[in-house]
Amino acid sequence: MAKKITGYVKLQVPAGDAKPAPPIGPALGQRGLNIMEFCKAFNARTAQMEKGTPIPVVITAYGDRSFTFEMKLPPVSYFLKKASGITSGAKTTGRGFVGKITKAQIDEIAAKKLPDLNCETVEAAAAMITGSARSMGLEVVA
Amino acid sequence: MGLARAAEALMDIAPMAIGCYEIQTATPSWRPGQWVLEFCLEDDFGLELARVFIAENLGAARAATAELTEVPAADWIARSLEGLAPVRAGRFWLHGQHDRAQRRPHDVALEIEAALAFGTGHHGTTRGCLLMFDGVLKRRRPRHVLDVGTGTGVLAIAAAKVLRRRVIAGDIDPVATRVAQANVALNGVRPFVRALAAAGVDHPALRGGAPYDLIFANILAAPLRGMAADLALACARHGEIIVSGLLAGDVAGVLSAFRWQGFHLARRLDVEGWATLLLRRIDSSAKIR
Repeated sequence: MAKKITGYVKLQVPAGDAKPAPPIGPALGQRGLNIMEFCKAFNARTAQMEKGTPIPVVITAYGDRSFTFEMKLPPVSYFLKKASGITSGAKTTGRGFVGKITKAQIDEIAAKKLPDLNCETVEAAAAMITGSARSMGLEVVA
Repeated sequence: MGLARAAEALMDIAPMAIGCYEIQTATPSWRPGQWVLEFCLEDDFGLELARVFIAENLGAARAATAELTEVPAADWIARSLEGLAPVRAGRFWLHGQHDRAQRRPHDVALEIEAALAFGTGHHGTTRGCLLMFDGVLKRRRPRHVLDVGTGTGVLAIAAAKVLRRRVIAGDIDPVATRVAQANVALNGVRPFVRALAAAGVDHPALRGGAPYDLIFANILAAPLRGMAADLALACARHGEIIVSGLLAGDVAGVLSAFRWQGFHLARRLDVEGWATLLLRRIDSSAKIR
């Protein structure tokens, strides 16, 4: 069929727990995409994962309101929050710290996320993740 | 799309949704038009903090021109279904599960959900093919039908419902093939439609079913030009091919490819800027592989 792409949506959806609430509801509903069909398909594909793990999803919308979606690995912020024990990052950067993370923890995350990142070495990945940690308001300690 | 990439990177900082949409979806060409970038931030951001967030991450100029609104709570399922109203195309009436009760006895009703495959009826190409098929049915009843690039299976299901004949449907995308198989069962035409994964007509079952006296090929201009010879070989002596997925500028090239195979344009339909062509064989020599 003639697929004309009309849009993309990127969301983070908890594995096995997609429902028609924000952000899925507003992001898809305002554009007339079939929310329930997305929720059913996503929950089916993530049924084997640990429930609640945030999964980045890129939805491609087509001209007739059909769609496809691609799932990625959990985001760096998920690993950073898990390692540092914080529940949410700073809303604005450079205005104080909300938690701490060690260099060793950063390296561990870098090794996990390396295949997903736009770099080739763990060191480069660690540098990117250090930047993300600071943006979230985490103090990187030795 | 540089802005879209920068915005996507923000997903690691704040949980939210990012949408990127073409403003005008009915375009006269394949060139991308103007797109809008949309963020969906969490409740606790507030509008002013959202502007600060955009300024810090995407620049002050973008923050100054960004439109910020609070999205009120709504019944999002109902909102999404509003855009998925039933579609009429001649004798065919396409609908989702939510409109099943509105079916009328004289309609040829096709239940197709807007989900993981193309072909819901909410696009000029699908509607054009169904309208063209409706016109063919006023003249004759095809006996052997092939649907290449079936998507949801909508055209194959339409043919099976009206003709009660065996229809073969192929799609290069295995996900679409599974969706088509489910739709075939949902619409009660499993005895008639065989949906399988195939690249064009390159599958023994598709070649073995030839010659077809009606072929649907709702794909895109470039693959249609490339498949013209294969489709001509699969088409019966007095057969017809319905092709779609063409913008106005694509028609001449596709017609040229099929004229080279001995077909001429019998009818053209334009729906929402998309052209659907009915091609008929000029000569009488059957070409069957």
